[in-house]
Amino acid sequence: MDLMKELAKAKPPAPEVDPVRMELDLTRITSMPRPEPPRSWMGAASFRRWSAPILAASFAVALLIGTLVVLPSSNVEVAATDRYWHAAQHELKLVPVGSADAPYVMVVESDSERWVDVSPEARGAEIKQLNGQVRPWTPDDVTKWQQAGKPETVPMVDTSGFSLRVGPLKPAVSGWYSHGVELIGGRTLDYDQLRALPGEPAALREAMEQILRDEKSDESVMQRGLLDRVSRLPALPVRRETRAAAIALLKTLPGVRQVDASTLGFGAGPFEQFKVTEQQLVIDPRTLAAVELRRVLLEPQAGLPAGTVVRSEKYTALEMTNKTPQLPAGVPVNGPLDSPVIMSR
Amino acid sequence: MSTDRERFQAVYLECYPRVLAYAASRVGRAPAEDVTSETFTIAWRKLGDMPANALPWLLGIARNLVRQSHREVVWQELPEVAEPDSTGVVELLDALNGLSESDREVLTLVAWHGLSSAEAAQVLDCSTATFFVRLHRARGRLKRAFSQSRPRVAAKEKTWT
Repeated sequence: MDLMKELAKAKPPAPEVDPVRMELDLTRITSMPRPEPPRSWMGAASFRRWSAPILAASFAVALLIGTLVVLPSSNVEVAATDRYWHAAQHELKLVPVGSADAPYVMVVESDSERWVDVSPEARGAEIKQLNGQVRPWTPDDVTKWQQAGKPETVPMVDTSGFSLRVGPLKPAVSGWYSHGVELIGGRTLDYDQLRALPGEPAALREAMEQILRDEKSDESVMQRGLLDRVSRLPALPVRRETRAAAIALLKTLPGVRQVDASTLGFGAGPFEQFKVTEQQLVIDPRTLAAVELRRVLLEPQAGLPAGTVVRSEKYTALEMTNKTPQLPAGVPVNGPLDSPVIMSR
Repeated sequence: MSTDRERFQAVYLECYPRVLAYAASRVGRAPAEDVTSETFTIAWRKLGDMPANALPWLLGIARNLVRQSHREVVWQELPEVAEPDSTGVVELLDALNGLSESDREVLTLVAWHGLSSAEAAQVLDCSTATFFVRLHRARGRLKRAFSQSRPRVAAKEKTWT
């Protein structure tokens, strides 16, 4: 019995289309003027028109973006006139490949940026897989990959039919009419709601639990959901008091341990191909903002020693800014993501 | 401009029923028309961003609207199912109803709205690989929930992976 097929059979009947309403809506919508988006911001068409004359200079744009990406996190606090929430991070993930008895390791790494307009205009954009590439991780892994004949795709260990494509990744841009900043895996809070989150641990816990209840989370996911969301707060545009409360609250939650003065460990369990891992949040003690969210091996696996960071989001900018967001030239907004993972089944 | 309008109209006529069906599955029948109308209004304003395969992009807009307004209804308030019968439809929907919103969304995008994994990933604004993982896990949780609600049927599922 294939549950997905059975589920498809249980699909609610499609609602009947009201042709009158449909026609009226179409007439109303197409009679509305289409606003020209501001240049260099979300409108892909105008962006392309704007960028066409300098397409040849796209390297310069990439360089500018690269420069933005490596800016250190310094401006988590807010000026009254700041318009954009800008978060940039360098992402890294290790992927054991080859055969289970003789694996070697590929690294998937890229930069990403998220821009959210916190003004009433409320637009957002995310740039993924900037400078993205898949390559053998260490010189030893390079040797093993070369000995395997430098395959362009390599089977992922301990997966059922997934392979990894080696080489560069294309960047992708997603854009949306934003209504705030998404708490991981859950509800989106607008900027004012984020800024209004409590600065006291017990009150913050109550506020976050209420958000989970609003999401209709059942009790089994409440605990994990609380941990997930609170751990993300130091990387969001919340007040310093809220960041302090989030860190204090995290320390009281089951399964959370202090790894060192600036690092909390939690969420022990399997992660993708790795069996025994722990999530770790590294905090800048000066700003109380997140420095890195990572997954660390707790036991050796796939030739990697305990303590290896197998997944990392290292924040290179968490700031409110009035800098004009820049999107990479020639990348369609909301186009497909160039995933390096191939399902060969 | 007329070209833009013709292009929009073609997408509107093709995708309206599926956007409406998606909205109805999320907010119920009555508000679904409003969500669909808002979705296409935004699509018109952002026509320059509309990809050739517009449906996932449109569903992404509709999804944001639903989440923005918190108009989602509890599962029991949704329209009646196809036909409760002896094959466990009721139990299966009960099992689905017991999953998290996130799991339900992943499963129904594929099973009910007919999206490919790549298209569903676009709606959810995640990578296809991430979607595969989420789908795999959601299927597992659905299977477990269904097994608990209908052990007799689940006992026949020895080939499930």
